[in-house]
Amino acid sequence: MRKRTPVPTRLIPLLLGLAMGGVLFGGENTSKLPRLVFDETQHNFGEVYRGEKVSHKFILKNEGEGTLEVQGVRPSCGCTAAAPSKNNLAPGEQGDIEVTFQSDVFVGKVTKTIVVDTNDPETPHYTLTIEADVKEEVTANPRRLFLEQVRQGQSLKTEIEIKAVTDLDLEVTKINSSSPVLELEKRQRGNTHIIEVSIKKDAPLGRFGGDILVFTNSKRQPVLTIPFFGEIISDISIFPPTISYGTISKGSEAMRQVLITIYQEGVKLTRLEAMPEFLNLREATETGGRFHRLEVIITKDAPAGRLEGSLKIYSTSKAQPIINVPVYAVVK
Amino acid sequence: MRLLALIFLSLYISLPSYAEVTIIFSGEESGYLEPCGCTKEPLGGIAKRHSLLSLQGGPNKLLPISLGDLVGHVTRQNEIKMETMVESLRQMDYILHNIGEKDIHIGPEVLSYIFYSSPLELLSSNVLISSSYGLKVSPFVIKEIEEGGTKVKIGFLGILSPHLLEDNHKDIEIIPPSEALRPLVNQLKDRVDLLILLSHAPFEESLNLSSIFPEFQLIVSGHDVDHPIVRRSGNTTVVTCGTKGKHIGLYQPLHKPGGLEIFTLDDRYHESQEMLSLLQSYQQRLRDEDLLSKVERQAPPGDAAYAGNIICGTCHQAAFLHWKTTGHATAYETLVRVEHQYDPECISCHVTGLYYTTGFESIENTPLLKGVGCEACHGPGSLHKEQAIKGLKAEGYGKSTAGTCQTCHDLEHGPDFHFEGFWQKIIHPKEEVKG
Repeated sequence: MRKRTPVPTRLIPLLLGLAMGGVLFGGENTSKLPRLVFDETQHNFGEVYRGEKVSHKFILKNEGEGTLEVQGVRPSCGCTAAAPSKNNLAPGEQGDIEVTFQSDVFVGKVTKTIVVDTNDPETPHYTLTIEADVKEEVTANPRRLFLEQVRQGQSLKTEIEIKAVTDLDLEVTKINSSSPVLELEKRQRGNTHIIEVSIKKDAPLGRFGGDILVFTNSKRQPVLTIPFFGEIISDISIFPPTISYGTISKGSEAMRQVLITIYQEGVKLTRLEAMPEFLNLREATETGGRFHRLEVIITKDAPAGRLEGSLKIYSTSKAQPIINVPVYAVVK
Repeated sequence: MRLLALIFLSLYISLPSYAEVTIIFSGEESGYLEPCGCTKEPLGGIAKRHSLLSLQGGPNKLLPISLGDLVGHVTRQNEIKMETMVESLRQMDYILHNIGEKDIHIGPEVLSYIFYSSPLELLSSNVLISSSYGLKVSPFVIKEIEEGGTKVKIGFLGILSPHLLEDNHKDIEIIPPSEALRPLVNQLKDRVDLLILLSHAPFEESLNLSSIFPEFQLIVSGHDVDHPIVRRSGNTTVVTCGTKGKHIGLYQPLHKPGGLEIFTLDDRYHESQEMLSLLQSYQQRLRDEDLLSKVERQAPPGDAAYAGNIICGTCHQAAFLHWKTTGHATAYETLVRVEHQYDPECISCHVTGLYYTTGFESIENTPLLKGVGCEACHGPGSLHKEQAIKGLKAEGYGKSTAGTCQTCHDLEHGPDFHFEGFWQKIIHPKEEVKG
């Protein structure tokens, strides 16, 4: 069902004029209207430590002659909660909107807004703004770990430094990784805690990623999350690891590309095979260097139903003589 | 009289008001293909955006541009999401994508894979990516459009704030924006009719660039600003639309006066069938690649294991029976109804312990952990069970706070959530303390 087309804002004065005309001609009583007035529309919390929750009350008053209805408060972010002290304010009555900002996911300067919806005809949507400069009590360096490409079987070690910037006597109580690829150890160097990160020698091939969780005795930041990414490679790397088409229409052709990267000098691709029979292969224009691009095409004659197939890549690599890439599609 | 006014009004609105050159933009996408179905008044999504764009003038007059950060995280799901997002932008006739820091996080090889065969041009005036990836990044893009019998040339430049990419990437160099832009602005200012900058930077930094480069007529800014802001700085309009494509900016450079409007993508816009099909195909890919089994899992809190509701219910019968009457008990089925039960990002709030070892894996392997069970709020209960068998008191187990609820009931997924009210919906009878 087609819905109503929103009206461009540049038409609003015209529409308001027409609407007012309608109101005048209709003879409605417009004499007792509410009027929303805020003492301030912006509040700066100043420096806030990450993990702290801070609150502020924005005072509002009904300076009109009709009852002011606070119909809704809409913060721009899940980090901000806002609640009116009362939903209806009689003429001359005062109330407040209490705004609470939770800083756990921020670092640096943050600006958030809260839209207050009322029945004030002049300003039905009033915007309040809060600002904060979020500091960290405990810092991680680096904040995220890019381990890039690591050859399978090779060891790679790197470090993350964890420090307190306040006078907190920092303790790192526990460290966890969401990936079996990494090994973590902790030690201390003066006031700095060091997380030694190493990649296991038997880590499986492919891209990996996740979070390292560092548990501390800081009440403000009991847990630090450090994302990490990398790839374990051998002679050849294939992207994507699985070729999935999703849903495709029967009778139409669908194509996905495969990027083959050769890391080991001298390794050559010898043969490519795709099955079942309605999967075709086409080598894309050679981009040079270590990259090969391949187009895997589901032809128009693929029957309806779930398709499961594979792409086999044969090479002169001793470590990876045959690479199997699963292929999935649903033809409807 | 009112009726006459309404008739006139509807005639007026139906006039095609977008027959002129229109630049269309939003903030960073952050992988927001569609709003979560939990929200009462969902905003944004590619299906509504397509509908908005379809309402505008012919495609030869529209120049949709993408600001950066197609996805928010680095996972296989986000790689598929990035492909889907780029395909949706292609179908909506987007002309370029400015590189954001999250596009770099996902890896130049993935960018190379996705953009190799895409008609979208990758733009960055200050990000240099090693040529070994075979990735073509243009320092500027010029588009020529015919308007009222004359040709209008628009030059687009794009930057990424170096502050947003503190990490060392061996194959990527970021030049300070003002240093990178100066020669390009000098080169282009006499060649084009107007210059537009896509500034993937904090708003203040974009404002600062408007002072250094008054040659820009429009600066589209965006990074972590979740609400629209428009500022005038000399001759330059600096605008951000907020994040996740919830608001869409339309800029008509030849329109006098103003020419800038921001639309909120709410339920006034229908969802385009083309984009719904793309989203359905995306869900099928998540299922086919069995991404639920590839979720990265941490050790559960407290080193306990998840036991399952039935185990809890053995002793806590009254609480268990009450739980079965709540929405938490049928949270998994809610997701099945909308066919999102193979989407790891959705399912994490509809089952128990997805991101932990011993938590939910699949409906076949861990059926006792479907739904938001006892242990979703109280934590994994194996140690508590063992203590209970030994007749020991449950010291410190089971405490839950509003923060636990807000892991899922955040603003994105439950803007009406308030602890006191919602707590009443799930509060279960007090159990008799045993032992």
